Amino acid sequence: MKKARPIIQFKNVFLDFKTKTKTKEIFKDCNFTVNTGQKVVVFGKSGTGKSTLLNLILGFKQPKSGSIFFKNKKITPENIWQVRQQIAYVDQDVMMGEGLVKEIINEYFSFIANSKIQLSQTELEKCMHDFDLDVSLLDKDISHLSGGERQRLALVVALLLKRPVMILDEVTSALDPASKEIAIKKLLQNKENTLIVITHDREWQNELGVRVFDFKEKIWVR
Amino acid sequence: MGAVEISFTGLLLGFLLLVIPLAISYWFKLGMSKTTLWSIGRMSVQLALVGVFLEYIFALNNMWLNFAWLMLMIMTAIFSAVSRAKLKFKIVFGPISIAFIISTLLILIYFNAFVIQLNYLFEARYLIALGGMLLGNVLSVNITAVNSFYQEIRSQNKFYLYRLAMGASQREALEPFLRRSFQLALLPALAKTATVGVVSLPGMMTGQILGGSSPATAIRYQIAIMIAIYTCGALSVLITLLLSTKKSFNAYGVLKENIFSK
Repeated sequence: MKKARPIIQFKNVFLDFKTKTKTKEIFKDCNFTVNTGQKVVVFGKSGTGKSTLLNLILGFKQPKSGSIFFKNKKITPENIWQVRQQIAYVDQDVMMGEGLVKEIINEYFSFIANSKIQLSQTELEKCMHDFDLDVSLLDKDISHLSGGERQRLALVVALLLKRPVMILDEVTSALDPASKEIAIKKLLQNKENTLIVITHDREWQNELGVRVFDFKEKIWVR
Repeated sequence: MGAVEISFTGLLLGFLLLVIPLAISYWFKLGMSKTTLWSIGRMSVQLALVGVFLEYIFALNNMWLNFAWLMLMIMTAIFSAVSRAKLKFKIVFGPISIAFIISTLLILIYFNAFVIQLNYLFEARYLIALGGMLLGNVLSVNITAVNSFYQEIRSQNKFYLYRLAMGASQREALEPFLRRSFQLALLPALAKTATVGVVSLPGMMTGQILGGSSPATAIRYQIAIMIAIYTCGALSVLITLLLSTKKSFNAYGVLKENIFSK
């Protein structure tokens, strides 16, 4: 068996946030490790701060104390920009910008960090097809797409970026059962990449080979 | 050939015109009578004082004095902009100061040296009158730009963070917000510029014609000053926005929450 290589680690992470009435502890001495290639499903009631998990990994929030490691390196202001370049991220009601769909996609691929990826038209069309998106959408204004279509489009872009880690926050909840099924299969297809999915959807937990993390208790249940 | 002098009685008759807006305010209960009188009164006193100062300044035409007066105008514009920006003083004061000083001085000196080709760059009439025109515009476009820029990043924070997550550098992530705020600040003035001469005769041109210049001279000045105003506005917005971003985002590229003042 291949030796497990940690990709994301939380070490003694504390984080709380204050509402008007009380202080809510989201992470209290939280420790866990996700290894390269693992498919992780994080579940928990809404309002428990699951999205904070992603915000911490992406450097949008910082823990009060403790550290987060990416590929065994502590996440710092200096390396966060490289860390982000290795993570594809989609969240619920994603905001991708304004304008024509194809122009929006091209813009993301024109970022210096992504310019080494050659976006091939055939690959784009195939991936769109996999997610049941018509190619004619490319010439539409993104505001004319439905919520579900926008969600799937963001997933297509995330996949085409071919990043080693993919983090998805409630991305399948807006999809109908059929597209949900397709999306889950497609997203789990790549054996190499690491996938972290935050979701209410039971369907994810029933998939083979996924690990399941109970966010409320901060323990692995599978 | 100069303009016909307005006599004291003439000026009083000018004030008499106010009866009309005051009557409108009274009839329709607009509640604007007090504000009208206060604003007009304040404007009159300010202009009277400035008039006295300018008489001296123009008569002395001393380089340092002219320059000091211009700096006083710039400082007033800076404080006015800072107080109307919805960001904390320590965030915007530096960027706005640098932007206003650099853009106004640069364009003004260029204008006097190359467009009008003055022998004496610090000629009071040009430095102060043209400086005032540039600053008026710089003030309004910067307030619009800086407020819209940060409000949009705040209200569309998800979009901004998505761009960071997609691997954008700080500047790449800010691009749509910069674009939007430049457009909001500069397009209205451009639209107005495009109708000048047809819909409106600008104040400076009118003033010059009344002052005895030929329409041909007045028009050349008007064209040049409008270009200068537009350029100066764009340059100052660029400096303000770029410099202010240095202080408003944390090291992880995330907008700080405590930069807003209201």
